[in-house]
Amino acid sequence: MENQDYIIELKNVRKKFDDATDYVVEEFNLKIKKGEFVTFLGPSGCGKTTTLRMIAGFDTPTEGQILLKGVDISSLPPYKRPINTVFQKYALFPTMNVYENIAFGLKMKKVPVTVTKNGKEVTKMVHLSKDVIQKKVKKALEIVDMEDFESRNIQTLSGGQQQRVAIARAIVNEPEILLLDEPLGALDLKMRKEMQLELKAMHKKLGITFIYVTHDQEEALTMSDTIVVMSDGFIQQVGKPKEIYDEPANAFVADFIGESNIYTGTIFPDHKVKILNKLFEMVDTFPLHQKVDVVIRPEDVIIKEQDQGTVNGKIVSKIFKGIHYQYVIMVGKNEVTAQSTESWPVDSTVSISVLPNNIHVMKRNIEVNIYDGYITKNNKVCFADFDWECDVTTLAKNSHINEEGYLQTEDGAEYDLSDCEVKVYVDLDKVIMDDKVDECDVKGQIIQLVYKGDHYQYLVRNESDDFIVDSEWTWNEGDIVGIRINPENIKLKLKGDLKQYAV
Amino acid sequence: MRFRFQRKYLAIPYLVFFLLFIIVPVFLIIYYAFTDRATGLPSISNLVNFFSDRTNVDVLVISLVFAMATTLICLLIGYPIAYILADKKYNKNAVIVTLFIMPMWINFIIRTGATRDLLTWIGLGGGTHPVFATLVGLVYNYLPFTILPLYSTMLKMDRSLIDASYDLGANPFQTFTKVIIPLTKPGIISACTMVFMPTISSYVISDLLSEYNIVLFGSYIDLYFNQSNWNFGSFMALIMLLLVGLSVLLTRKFDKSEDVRTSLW
Repeated sequence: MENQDYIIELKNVRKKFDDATDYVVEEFNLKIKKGEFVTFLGPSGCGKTTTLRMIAGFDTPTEGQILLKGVDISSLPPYKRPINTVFQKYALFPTMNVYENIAFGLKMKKVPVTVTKNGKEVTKMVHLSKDVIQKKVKKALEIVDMEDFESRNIQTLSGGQQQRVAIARAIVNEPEILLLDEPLGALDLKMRKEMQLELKAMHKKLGITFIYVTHDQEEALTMSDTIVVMSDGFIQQVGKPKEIYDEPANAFVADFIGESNIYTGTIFPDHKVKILNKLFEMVDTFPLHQKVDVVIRPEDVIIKEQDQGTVNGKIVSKIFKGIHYQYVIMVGKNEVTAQSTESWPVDSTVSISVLPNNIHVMKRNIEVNIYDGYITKNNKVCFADFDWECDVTTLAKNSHINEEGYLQTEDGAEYDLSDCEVKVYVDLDKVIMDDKVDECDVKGQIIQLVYKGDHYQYLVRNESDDFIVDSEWTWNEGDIVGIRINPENIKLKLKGDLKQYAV
Repeated sequence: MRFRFQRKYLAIPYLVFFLLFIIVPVFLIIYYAFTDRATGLPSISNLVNFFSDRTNVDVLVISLVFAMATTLICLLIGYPIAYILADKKYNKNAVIVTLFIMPMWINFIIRTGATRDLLTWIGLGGGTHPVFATLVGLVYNYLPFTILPLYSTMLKMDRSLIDASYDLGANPFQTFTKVIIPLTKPGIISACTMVFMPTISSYVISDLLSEYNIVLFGSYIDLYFNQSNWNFGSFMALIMLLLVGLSVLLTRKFDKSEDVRTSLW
């Protein structure tokens, strides 16, 4: 079978919860090799835990398949899957001690044993013997370094110790795949660093496939063979840690992984891109005049004496970070974050430059909000569950609304626009976010934000639609905001021919 | 000397209450139980009389059997109901819980009267089926007391533990017996005590529903008190007190392994 190289494969997996309208996981396609350490990385609510739960069997995909060694297991209950999980809050049984917790899975297990009965060989499913269980539990405790804790009560253990027991309880069953759902989230920083290394060593030693879920990009970079960056239910990028760091696929990945400067630029001839009002050389090839996102890592910004580099700027802040200084340099209205081991005084004017292959140019995802809407009886346009004021006369040249409320063109023809379907375009910077939420008819929640040098790009979601908003004002993720769009900024385009709406 | 109000004086009403309604009655019971009715002198004649008559012991045993049966049936019915109620998927806004608890809002004698009429109407009344009718009445009355403690334990139960159990290879039945039951043990114990203790002494329900065909220990005590035989009645009340005390001790012993006591007693 062609799939045999891969221990688990997710094919077009989508997931929607019963009472929800949106999919939490969309078009998830991923193949994982045996023995790989794969990390699902993304902000909370991006669908990574749901994906993990589908692999474990706690949730079933709405669409798509999950193949384990080429066999579809998407509808197999969790207790029949050779997969074990280390839960976020450990989920150790408080009614059992350490030994009983770890032995639980082994006690449930039945193994085939061939016995001779009346001269015939019969395969019987039997429970593991007490000795075997004891040996295995002892070994698991050894692996997690908790030998003397067998008879301890769960409640008497510290967070780190509970964590180790949870890991032992999962690995003792020798699963094909070990799922780890933010297992280090509840530990303090020092403990977390230690456990990261230990988990990595354990992975090497056991040779089990690990699927690890985290929102901590550093953890992902340190531990993984492969990182799957997720946002908003979609896979944004799959790659080795270095690939993801050096060649982020889009602005979201760049922003999420490591620190970065992200700007909106325009492509100029001869491999140049215009950002910070200057032309920078780049290596990628893009169509001329295209709007692009440009990512520059702070450590790739070279600070020079005034006028020595590509563009001048003024240092507005300087923070000592141990082995380097972190500067914020204002270039015009744009902020540039830079790291350097050299010390430059605050308020001094410096010049910056970036090597061409450190300028990461990527296609801009969204340049305009597009909605499917229709015109209502009183010549408003309905999209995102709201009737917006708009100028329908833009749909036909030199037209006006007559007394009956019909659209009348120069030649006197009348059109009844009610229920006519339109495409609605709204520029990103024309959507206005208002903190007087109660005064706005449309409200949304900020799902995501990316800083783009001189402004933020927000993803605002209401029950029915998303708004991408460019704004120079600072908001926080999770804020509820009111949404306003001035009528003149709503651009309409008919889907069909105007003639069919003639009165 | 001027009177100065101290915080401890606030305890006086409770102290009076405690003395009047708990300490004094208990001593009265003990006093009556160990005095002879005719002479008024201390004696153990009540004890001798009680155990020398088979009927007394039989009534006690029947009461115990009824209490145990009621507890068991209540658990069997109440446990699955509580489990479903504690699942937010089925019980949105706790409406269904309220429906189950609602009978508790109505006086139990009215409820029992209605039950009797209903059972007689469908031909299962106390005249023909005294045991059945009594059990129905007891279970119906005490079911809310089973559901409530079970429901609150199950609400607190960490559902990820069930996921963990499935994850480790336990099927739904194994998960139920090995994980869910141990986790809800405090709820089971307090449900048991809340049903068992009052059913031992209940007598209105059995009197009404069995149409006096079944005499439970409570009615027996009532009988002697009504005949102004305070001494023998008190002795039996003392026995019942001891039995209830014993059941509390027993459940405590069961509950000993819990570090955090969440049960009622």
